[in-house]
Formats: sequence, structure tokens, C-alpha cells
Amino acid sequence: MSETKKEKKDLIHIGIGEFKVASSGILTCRGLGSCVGTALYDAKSKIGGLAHIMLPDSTQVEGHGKPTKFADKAIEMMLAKMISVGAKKNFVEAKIAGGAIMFSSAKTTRDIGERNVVAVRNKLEKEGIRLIAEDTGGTHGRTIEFDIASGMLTVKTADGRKMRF
Amino acid sequence: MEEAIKLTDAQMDALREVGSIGAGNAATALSQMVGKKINMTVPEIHIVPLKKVPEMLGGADNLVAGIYTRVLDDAVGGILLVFPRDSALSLADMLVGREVGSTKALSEMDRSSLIELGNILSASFLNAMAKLLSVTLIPSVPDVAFDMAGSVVDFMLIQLSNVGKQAIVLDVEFIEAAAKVRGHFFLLPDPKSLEVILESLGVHGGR
Repeated sequence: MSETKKEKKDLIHIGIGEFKVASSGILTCRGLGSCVGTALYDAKSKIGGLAHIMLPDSTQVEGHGKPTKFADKAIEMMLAKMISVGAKKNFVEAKIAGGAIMFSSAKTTRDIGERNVVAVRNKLEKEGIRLIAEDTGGTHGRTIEFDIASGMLTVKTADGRKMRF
Repeated sequence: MEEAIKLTDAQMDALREVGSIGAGNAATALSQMVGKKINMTVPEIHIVPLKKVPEMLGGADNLVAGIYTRVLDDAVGGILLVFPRDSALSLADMLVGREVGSTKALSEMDRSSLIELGNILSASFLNAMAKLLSVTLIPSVPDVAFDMAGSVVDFMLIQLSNVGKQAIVLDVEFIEAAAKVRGHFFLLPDPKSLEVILESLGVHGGR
């Protein structure tokens, strides 16, 4: 594919529990399992952000680590950052991927993927941001690439399946 | 606040002891299962920052086999064994009795044998740990996932991130004749039990 070279060059990695905002390049979360990759995009200003969300709710767990690992805080902070560099909240739309259940016997974390997805959806709704596409759930991992120039999100799986939306 | 896990020499020794007793027992059980001599060692124990775990496994989208065993008694949350793809293939070769290195893709049979391996390993290590801690630890039937490293370990990182910033990892090595295969053995304590375990290791490990 012609984009492959460009992707390699401009790939900006988002580590677990982090987010980044950009006006060019490709943001990526590699190997999402129960985590949820949340992409926000203002198509007018072409400003986008991608968050690698680990946990649903910052109010449920206290005093542990960065706020950006939680759905509520990560979305809030990423949105604020996007607006501070020129995005308009009214134009921002969302695409999400991830939230799988990798091991069904992992008792305490069994539904963490699903809870993450629900928390992200709720937070987006609360902020009045339209969720326009998602690929969530299931029992497989995902690597996502978010192209800031087009706003397209590419989801890849370990067995070579690929989708773009 | 989160604190770095600091293991005393005595605790490290105790973990090593758990590791080598567990490995010894597992090797015996494995050798019986496959009908030939398989040795197992724990060459290294690492304390790894959670962020570095995917890197340690060759990168977040590197393919791995993950075998997760939950502990039914809640003193320890669970055990996650992770093998890079090539190691998982070699291990399957070892277990099924093919020449190591001959398999390129895992069959259903290979998967079952890896689950069985997870069973044996978890049980052996839990037994060794249970003895040391004087508690009963009963493993569940393991679950296997073959997928990207990041996706296989992220539920564990989520769980561990509620405890601290690091993971305790025992490297395990399987040796059959000239072939060596290395995997990683992660302990997933429930938030409260980590302290209990480390404390117990401190108390009992100083012998």
C-alpha cells in the first residue's frame, strides 16, 4: 500500500494510560485488549486526539497513578487540549475500538473491557460528542492507527483482518 | 501513593526458592506427561515497570501465547504465563514430541498441550508458594489467548496498576536436549495480597 511508508514515518505511539493530540501524522495504540482506544476528531480544523484508556472511572479508584488512564479524565483532558490548540467542541466526533475480553476466567477483570466501553460511551454522551463508529468487544486484540489528515481509523487484528472507518 | 516494589535479599531468595521448587516439580510432571526428560529452571527474576512489560515481550503488537490461571483461593489473584510466538511453537513441539522448530502454526492439539502445560506450571508454582506461605492455593483451569502482547497483558497491567507500578516476573526456561525455550511468568496479586505475600516471604524467606 502506498500509505505504508508514510505510516512508518509519522507514527506517534500512545502508551497504555496515555493520550496525545496532533494536527498531523498518525496516532497509534498497539495491542489493545481490554483497553479502549478513543479517537476524537474535529474535521474542520483537522485536529485529532487518541487516548489509550485502561479503566472506566477515576472516582472509583483513589490515589493510583495518572488520571489519563481513566475514561472520564482522559476524554476531558484530551478534549480540553484539542480545544486549546484550535479545535471546536461542536465539530468534534468520536470513533472507538477495543474493550475485548481476552481471558474469560479472569474474574475481577473479566468485564473490564465492557465496562471501559460503556464508560467511554457515557462520557462522550455527557460531553455531547457524537460517537460515529466503533469496533468493540469480542475476544481478540486490536492495533489501531488514527490518520489525522483524514480522520480515518484503521483497526488491525493479529489474524491479519483490517478495517477502516 | 504508589511505591516501588522493593524486595529485600531475603524476599528475593524466597521467590527464587519458590521458583526453583516450582520449576523442579513442574519439570518432573512435564517429563512424565511427554515421556522424556524436560528440565526447567528459573534463570532470572525481574521487577519490571508496568510500562515496560509490552517492550519486554518484544513490543505491544508482537504475537504471544498467554496462559492465564486464576487462583480460586483469593490469596493470590492469578498467574499469567507469556511465551513469545516462536517459543510457544517450540514448546508445542517439545510437548507433542516433534523436532523443536518444526511447527509453524498451532493446531488444536498444540493448544490443548499448552493449556496442560499451564495447568502443570501453575499448580507446581502455587504449591511451592502455598507451602512457603502456609496457605492453600487452588488454581482454576487455565485460559489461553494467542494474540498481540499488548492485548494479552493489558488486563494484567490494569489489575497491577491498582497495586503499584511494577510487575514481578520470573523467567522460566525449558530445556530438552539441546533445545531451550524461555517464557515469562507473571504474578498477579489482588491489591491487598501483594503485601501479604511479600511480608510472608520476608518472614519465612530469611532462613
